[in-house]
Amino acid sequence: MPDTSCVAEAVRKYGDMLYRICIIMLKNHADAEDAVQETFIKYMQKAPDFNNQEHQKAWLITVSTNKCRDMLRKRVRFADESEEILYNLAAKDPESSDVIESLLELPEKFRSVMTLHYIEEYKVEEIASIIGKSPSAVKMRLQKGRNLLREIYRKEFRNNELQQT
Amino acid sequence: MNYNKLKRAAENITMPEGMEERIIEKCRDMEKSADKKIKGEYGYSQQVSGVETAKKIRISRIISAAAACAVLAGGINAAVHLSGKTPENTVISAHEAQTQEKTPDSTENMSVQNSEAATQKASVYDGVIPTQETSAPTADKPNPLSDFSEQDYKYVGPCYGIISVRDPNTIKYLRDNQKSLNEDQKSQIAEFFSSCEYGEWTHEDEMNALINSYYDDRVFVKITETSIETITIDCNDRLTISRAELNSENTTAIQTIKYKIDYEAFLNVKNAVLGTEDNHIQLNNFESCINDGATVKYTLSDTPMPDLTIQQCRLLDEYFSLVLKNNTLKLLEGYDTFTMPVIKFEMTKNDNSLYSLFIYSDDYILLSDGTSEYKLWYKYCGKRMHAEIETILRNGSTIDSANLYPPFGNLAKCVDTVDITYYNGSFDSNLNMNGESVHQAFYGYNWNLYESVQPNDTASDQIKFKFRINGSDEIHVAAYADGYICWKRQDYQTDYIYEEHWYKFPDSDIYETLLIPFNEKIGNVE
Repeated sequence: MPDTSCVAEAVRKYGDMLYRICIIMLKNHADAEDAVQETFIKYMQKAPDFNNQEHQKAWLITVSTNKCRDMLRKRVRFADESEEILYNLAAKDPESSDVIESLLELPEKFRSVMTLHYIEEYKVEEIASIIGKSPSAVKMRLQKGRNLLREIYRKEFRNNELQQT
Repeated sequence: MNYNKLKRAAENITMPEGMEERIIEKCRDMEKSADKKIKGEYGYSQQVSGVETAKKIRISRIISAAAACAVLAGGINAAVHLSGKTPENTVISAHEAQTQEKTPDSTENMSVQNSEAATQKASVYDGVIPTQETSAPTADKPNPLSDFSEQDYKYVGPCYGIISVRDPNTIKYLRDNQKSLNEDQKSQIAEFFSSCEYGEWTHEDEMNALINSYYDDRVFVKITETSIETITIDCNDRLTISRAELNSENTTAIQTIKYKIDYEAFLNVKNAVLGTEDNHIQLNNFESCINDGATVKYTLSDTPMPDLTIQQCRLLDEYFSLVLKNNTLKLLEGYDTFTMPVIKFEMTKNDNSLYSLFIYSDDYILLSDGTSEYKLWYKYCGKRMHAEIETILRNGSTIDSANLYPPFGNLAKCVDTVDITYYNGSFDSNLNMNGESVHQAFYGYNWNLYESVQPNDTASDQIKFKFRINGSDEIHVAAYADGYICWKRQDYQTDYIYEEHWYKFPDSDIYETLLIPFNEKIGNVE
């Protein structure tokens, strides 16, 4: 079982990444912090022997996305704090908050795969393993997620110049 | 769409100030707490359970057996002392403890072993402690409840939200809900406890136990003015015996001991002796609640609908009675759905919530009481319960199985294979698919419910196919990415359209199902 110093190192290394994934999925600061905290608690209690750092990172992401899904399932009412998230983001990078705003508009199942693929740069097969779906399902969600994101972005920010792929 | 921009933007999302320190501090606290349990600083602890500690953090969400330990006087602690194991490495199970010899003066041993514990308000527990003193187990067959029939245990379960015997609310709940056992019931339950196998409950078992199980913890309790003892059996095959001393300030738990037993076997005996559980709430009592003055609010995809009428409630009761009778609802130990509820029923009376029933699009059902502490998860073995319920509420009819077939007929009976085309507005791709597979994509929906008209605009992405049904007629079907489905019957030579029908589904499941082989064929998403 990792001791506190190992956990502390993992928090410093992966905390931001996990927080980013959780807040995009949950759209709520308190829930995201809760999810990240419980991920590291589980890391302390149940972490296996990792083959390498990538293995460790993927394990943490899997646990945190599962935790986020648990929280979304149990959630009946929650405070959507997208505006606050975007406000804080805009303070750091005013030009980029629009694309995050579009991402936050996506349904959860697309948000998670889009985040893992385009932000955390995981491949389709790796995402499939993390979220427990088939690679085909992941490809489908990425495809649909891209279409939806494009549509939302165009509707909201059509005056911006976009680079088309 | 510039996805590098997305990545760069997301990199600005970082943990708020102080969050890193809070998490590290929390982990540090947990490590200390786990160490204290191993070393017995709270008194003797037989079960080191990081999971148990984690449960306390999520106190409002977890259902757990009674837990927490403090001071123990008795043979088990003495057994640890005798075992010669160092506290740091000791994770002793009850099974192991039972096989140890007892010492003549266990209290002294405890104080010798743990001076801090000795300074606490410890006392020898007056009740029965499962040692060899009061039972005569063989070394390899523990029997911790051999005296069950002689003690005044009462039955409480199922219990939800029980956290710990340290919690005064827990104790109050147990006091208020305990039911006496008659002699016959007591002796039959005692017989089960005497004859069942008690396995070792290991650290691994604790790690693998369902944390979020919503299953009933069956609880027997014995409460006096000065002490409380609970026997809890839960669906993880875990038997937990917990004893605590009550004082005027708070509860000091004395002992917790866990075994592995056969939960199903216990449940069978319990049901036979005490009756099957009586859930606080039933799936099919809409009408009776309305008759009692409650109202049932109903939302469909978060859109409020008119409150249910008594006629609708009656139909829902009939529907759920049939579902239960046909065993098409499976009660779950946990939950799996990744979706949000499509239908929500919330029953209230005088502005107080009685219970709520959520139907999810992937056929998970959540039934919970007004406090949201009592929850049951079910999985419907049919398809699209929410659509069936919507039909019932809309036109008062029950589901006609014929409606579950696509309106253009059973494709599987017409063709062995069919050419499918995927078109996204700029290019198309073709595949040959098995007729049965295509038919399955369309089967199982209540098509009447989704009849629509041709929209002004549809999504460009679509999947279409056609097949001959007789010498002159063809059926053309198109499934769009926005949930529209269109089918036409037309003359295959002249293209004259005899009939055309449109449907609008709330999601694009049919389209996405048909898309799967195309994605596999394409092999990438870029």
